Parts: sequence; structure tokens; C-alpha cells
Amino acid sequence: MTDKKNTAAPAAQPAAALEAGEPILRLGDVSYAYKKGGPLVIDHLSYSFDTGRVTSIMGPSGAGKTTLLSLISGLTVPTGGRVLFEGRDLATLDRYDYRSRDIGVIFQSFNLLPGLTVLENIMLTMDASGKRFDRPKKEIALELLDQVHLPRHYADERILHLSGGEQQRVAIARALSDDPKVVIADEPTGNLDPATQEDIMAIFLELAHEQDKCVIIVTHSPQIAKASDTVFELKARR
Amino acid sequence: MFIVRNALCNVTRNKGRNALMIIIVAIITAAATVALAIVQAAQQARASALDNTTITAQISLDRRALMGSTQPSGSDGTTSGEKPDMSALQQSMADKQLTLADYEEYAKADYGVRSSYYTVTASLAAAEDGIEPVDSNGTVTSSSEDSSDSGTTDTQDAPSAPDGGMGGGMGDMRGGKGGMTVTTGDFSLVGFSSDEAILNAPNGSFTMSSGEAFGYGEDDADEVIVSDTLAQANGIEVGDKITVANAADTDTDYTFTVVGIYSNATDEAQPQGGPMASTASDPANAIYTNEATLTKLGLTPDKTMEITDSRGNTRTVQSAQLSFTYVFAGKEEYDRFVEDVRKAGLGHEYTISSEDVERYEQSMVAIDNLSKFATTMLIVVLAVGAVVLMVLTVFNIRERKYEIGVLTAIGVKKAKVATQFAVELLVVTLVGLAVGIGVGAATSVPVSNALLSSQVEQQSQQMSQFGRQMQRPDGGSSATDVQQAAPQLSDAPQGTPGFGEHAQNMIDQLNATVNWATIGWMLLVGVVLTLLSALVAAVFVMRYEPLRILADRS
Repeated sequence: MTDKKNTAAPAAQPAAALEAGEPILRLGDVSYAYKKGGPLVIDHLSYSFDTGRVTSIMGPSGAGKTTLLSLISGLTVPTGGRVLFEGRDLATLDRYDYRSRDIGVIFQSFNLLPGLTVLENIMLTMDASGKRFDRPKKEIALELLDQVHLPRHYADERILHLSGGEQQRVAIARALSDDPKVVIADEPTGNLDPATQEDIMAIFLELAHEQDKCVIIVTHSPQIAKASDTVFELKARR
Repeated sequence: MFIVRNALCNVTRNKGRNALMIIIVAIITAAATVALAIVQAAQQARASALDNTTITAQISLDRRALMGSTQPSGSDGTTSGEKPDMSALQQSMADKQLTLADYEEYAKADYGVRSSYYTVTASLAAAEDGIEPVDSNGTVTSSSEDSSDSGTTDTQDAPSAPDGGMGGGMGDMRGGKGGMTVTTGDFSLVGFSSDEAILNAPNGSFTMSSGEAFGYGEDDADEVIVSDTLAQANGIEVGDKITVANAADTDTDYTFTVVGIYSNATDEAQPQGGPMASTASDPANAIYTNEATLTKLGLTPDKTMEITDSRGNTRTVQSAQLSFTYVFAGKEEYDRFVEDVRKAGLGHEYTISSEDVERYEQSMVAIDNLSKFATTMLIVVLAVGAVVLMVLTVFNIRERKYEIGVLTAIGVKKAKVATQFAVELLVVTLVGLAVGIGVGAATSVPVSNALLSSQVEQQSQQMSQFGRQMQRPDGGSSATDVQQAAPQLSDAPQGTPGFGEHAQNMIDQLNATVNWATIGWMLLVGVVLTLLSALVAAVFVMRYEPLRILADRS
């Protein structure tokens, strides 16, 4: 069981930030059970995620990392407590809007649409957000490819023709396409070679530090944890 | 809306799957289009077949109904069973016989009757020094004895119709038409009320080969026209006077002036009644005149005469038979007439019948069958189509669960996802519908005509079986049976009888072209089925849990 006491935040818990104002994303005594009355996968968890920082969520298998990811990405709602985005309870918000506008999620298996091209995948998310863009979407999408270090000639390639690392970069570009405040990544470096891992991590750090986004990474990798600003460690349930 | 754009892109992205879908929808649509075109064409054929033609109808006494009422034993009056009380029957027949005034009473424009005409037919015997009738072999008989012997049985005395069957019923209905039903005597004298009556002469249409037709005035009262066969056999020329005798009283001679010689459009060497029929039933022995002639001679339906049959029994029969025909502008008027006349008090022992309508019904048999078949096919095809479309949609959408997951995960609302799938489905089915309607339009006419001709053939075979039974000159059948058959046959259209003929008259062409109505219906049905399938898709999408995307690692 994980509880507050067991929750470790070794890299200088920013108490000052908490007091200064509402964090962008906050877990308020969150619990989650898959079945009503069933065992709690997440048990009374509280935590704050800040903008401008890269936070790694670590923990052994079964500690509830994926569940936590689904809670903060608005795919589901907690059975107890609240997930607050900018002080508003996610359970009361339109979570489709939340997913399409406020956050960008990079799934472990990327979850790109294989039939679409790189550009189409990115632009579909921009369309889905319903946001207005001051420049042509294609231009923004091509710039995002630059940002994730993917050559522009990939723009019209089908996803199926890309390698894992390339798909990962497209997934990141897609997550960033609608300019979200929070970027959530699930095992973003799982199957990548060390050089690519480093490159990807550099992109995340740049997002947090230069674009002032809240970056949350769910990972097993100690290197990622070490490179991130904050590590939120989940303990294995007994 | 990006969802629509995405849907349209998806249609081209999944070419193989959508092509398959288009083919299936097109096949179903083509089949349904042809079926619908047939059903609509059949309806139209039914509605328009009698639109521009006039309909003639007769009122006749239903012998069978009358017999039922005079026969308390309840036997249906077969020849083998107990004979009905003939004198009672005859009496009631005589009482029930409609007079010219009765007929004219119903010939009101209020009832939908456009015009009416009638013929009065009497039979005449050969006078001793007069002309001789043409017998069945086309030669002049030397003596009239044979024919007058065999002719003594009047059709009205026929104890019954052949048991059961269609023929019996039709015989009863047509029995009253009169024209050629008089089988006594050697000649038939047919008096026409007007040119319209002549146009519808009982022996079929004819042309004047020399001379001209009689007038209708009192002055024209002894003018007659004779058939070219009879003229040839007796050496009659226009202007000659011919002498014939009263059928009941051979001492009473009548003399007519031949003003013309006519030629029947269809020449029948053989009278229809078989070897024992009277020569009076031979069209060649029909002497045509105006109705005034018969009135002048006292040969009117309200008078009677006594004839003696071969057993020496003397019976009283009508001097002449009246055949009254009503003409209607269309089927609608005819139907109104039937209704109005019944309301006006025409009893149920009378039958109102129209050969045109009967023939029309006969001609519609094949089309009706085809229409029934097409309706069944339409229902089956649409039901199968609906099921196939839904199954395909369900399979399609199950295959695309991942896509639903991705779209909902990036925040596309389920309703929009469902809309996207519906639009995709609609685009694909619309293309399939268009192709299917096109194929259906191209094939509906040949396909429906092929189906119709096989129907006609099938019906013809059945009909000709009936026909053979009816015409069988069975040695075992009595003379009355044979004569019973005669009037029905000679009453048949164009003088060429038989049920097989009817079958051949069946409409064997159907203009099953696909019109805008067909296209409209098909589109409507197609769109409704698509929306139904889209609803299934929507239910599937709505039930999808976005959380499952985390498990969908494909």
C-alpha cells in the first residue's frame, strides 16, 4: 500500500511553490479501485505537479503508475479524492476538452493512426483541440518536426514506415501540437537506443525549462529519473 | 468540420475495404432496384392497361344461382345427379329475363355508362323454296332435317354447366350474351341497334365485300346483309331477295332484300359447336339486319314460340334473344356501374360481366405473379441487405477499435467519432447505391421481361391444359355438354376461342424502366438502412471506454 508517508519526493519538494499558488496539476487524496469496493490500486495519494519542471514518476510494476497516468490524463476519474487541474476538479470538467486542449499525452505504444501520414496525425490533434491557430497548421506541424528532431521529409510518410524512435518523435510532436500546458509521457524511452533516449530527454527538458510546460514522465529508467527535476516515487503495494 | 474531412480521407485511405463494401451494396441495390422497378411497372401496367380503352359489359342471368334457388335438394345440378326441376327453372328463367326496357333503365350516364347498344338474335329455318344454310363442311345442305333435329335443344335448356371448373363459371356468365347462343334453326338473324353494335358483332368484325350495310329506319326494315360464304353457296347477289322460314313454324316465310354481302375478318370453316351443333351457330349462316326488322317480324325477346325437340316434347322458348351491351370509358366507370346498378336493385341472380375486364384480368396474371415474386424478392433482398450492411459495419468498427481509442484519447468526443463513422459509411453506401441503381436501371428491362416471359410460358401451359379439357369432343359427353361449350367458345374475343388464347394474350412486355420514383425510393431505403447501421456503429463507439487505449498497444 502506498500512502502519504511512503511517498518520497527526494529532489527538494518545492513547498514554496505550493504555498505561492495553486499548482497546475494536483492530486488531492486520490484513491482508485478498478471495482467498487475492490482493492485500492492507488491509496490516498497527494502530490503537486509544477510548470517549468520535469517530474518523473517511478516505481516498480504494480505500483499504480499506469493508473496514475490515466487519472492525470483524464482517461478516468478517481474513486476517492480529486485530481485538480488549475484548481478545478477534473471530475467536473469536460475531460474530452481537457484531453484535447490542456494536456498532451505520449503513450507508451505511441498510439498514432497507422493509416495516416506523420503530418495528418499531428494535424488531426490540432483539429480535435478546436483551437484557433494564428498560422497555418501545416507550418506549425513542420516546425514541431524540427523541434522533435525529425527531418521534414518524413512529413508525408505513413506511420507504418517509421522506426520506433521516429514514431516516438511523431508522438511527441502530436502531443505538443495544440500547445498544451501539461505534457505526459508514458515510458517515452522504453525501446530506444541510449543516444535517442538522451535526445528525447533533452526535448522534454527544453519543453519544461524554456517553454515553461509541466512535463510528467512515467518511467522505469534511472537515467531519466536522474535527468529530471523531480522524482515522484510510488511504492509497491504489499 | 474536421471530422467530415477526416471521414472523407478515410474513405480513400481504406480503398480495399470500401471497394468491397461498395460492391456488396451495389449488388444488393441492383437486385432491389430491379425488383422495385418490376413492382412499380406492374402497378402502372395494372392502372393504365384499361386507361385509354373502352370497356363493354353485359348483365346476364346467372343460371347457376337460379338453379340453386329452384332446387331445394341442394344438389348442384350436375348431369349425373338428380335433374333440377326443369319446368320450374324455365319458368323462373322466363320471369327473370330482363327486357329491353330493363336494360335501358341501367344504361344511364349517372351510372358511368358512356353508351350502349344491343343485338337481337332470332333463329330462322330454311324455307322450302328459299336459300339453304351452309353446313359445317361449307357446302349447302340438301335438307334441313338433320340440323333442325340436332338444333332443338336450346342452350337455355342445358341442365347445368360442366361441374366445377372455370369453364362452367364463365359459361354461365357469358350465357346471356345471346349473339350466337341460339342453336335452333338453320340461320341466325341478328338485329343490330346501331353501328356501334355492328362494330362489336357477335361473330367478330367484318367488312363489306359488296353493297352496303342496312340503315336503321323503319323503311330499312327488310334490308339484310349476308355472309360471303352464304352468298356464294346460294348464288346471292346484292339486290336479290331471299326467303327464310320461322324456326317454329316453317309455314311462315320471311322475305328480305340483300343490300350487301359481308366478309368476316376471321373465317371459321368449322362451327364451334361440334358435329351436332346447329348450322345456325355457324357464322356463315348469320344474316345481319337492323333491330327494326326483327321487331317488325315479331321476333322480339318478349314473345315466345313453341318448339318441339327430338323426343317430341314441346317447349316454349323466347322468339329472340337480346344481348345488351354497356360501354364505359374506363375501368373506373365500369366499377362504378357495377356498384350503382347493384344499389339500384339488380338482384344477385344477375351477373354483371365484362369480357374486357376478364381479358384484362387474364392478361394481368403473369404480371401479377411477377409482381408478387418481385415484391417477395424486394423484401428478401432488403432484409438480407440490411443484415449484411449491419454485420459489415460491426466487423468494420470492431476492426477499428484502436482508431476509436486513439481519437477519444486525444479528446475527440464520442459523438464526433460516431459521426465520422456514419459519414464514412454514408459515403461508401451512397457510391454503392449509385452504382447499384445504375446497374439496376441498365438491367431492369431485360431482366423483368425475361422473368415475365417465363411466367407467361408457365401460365400458358397451365391454361392450355384447361383449354384441352374444355374443348375435348369426348364421345361420352352428351350433346348438351358440347353445346354448353359452344357459346363460351364462340363468345370469346375475336371469335377465336380458348383459354390458351387468353394466355397468349397475356401482357408479355413490361416497361420496367427505372424512373425517378424508383431512384428516390432506393435512395430513401438505402439511406435509412445506412443510418440504421450507423446507429449500430454509434452504439459501439459510445460503449468504448477511452481508458482501454492504454491496453490497446497494437
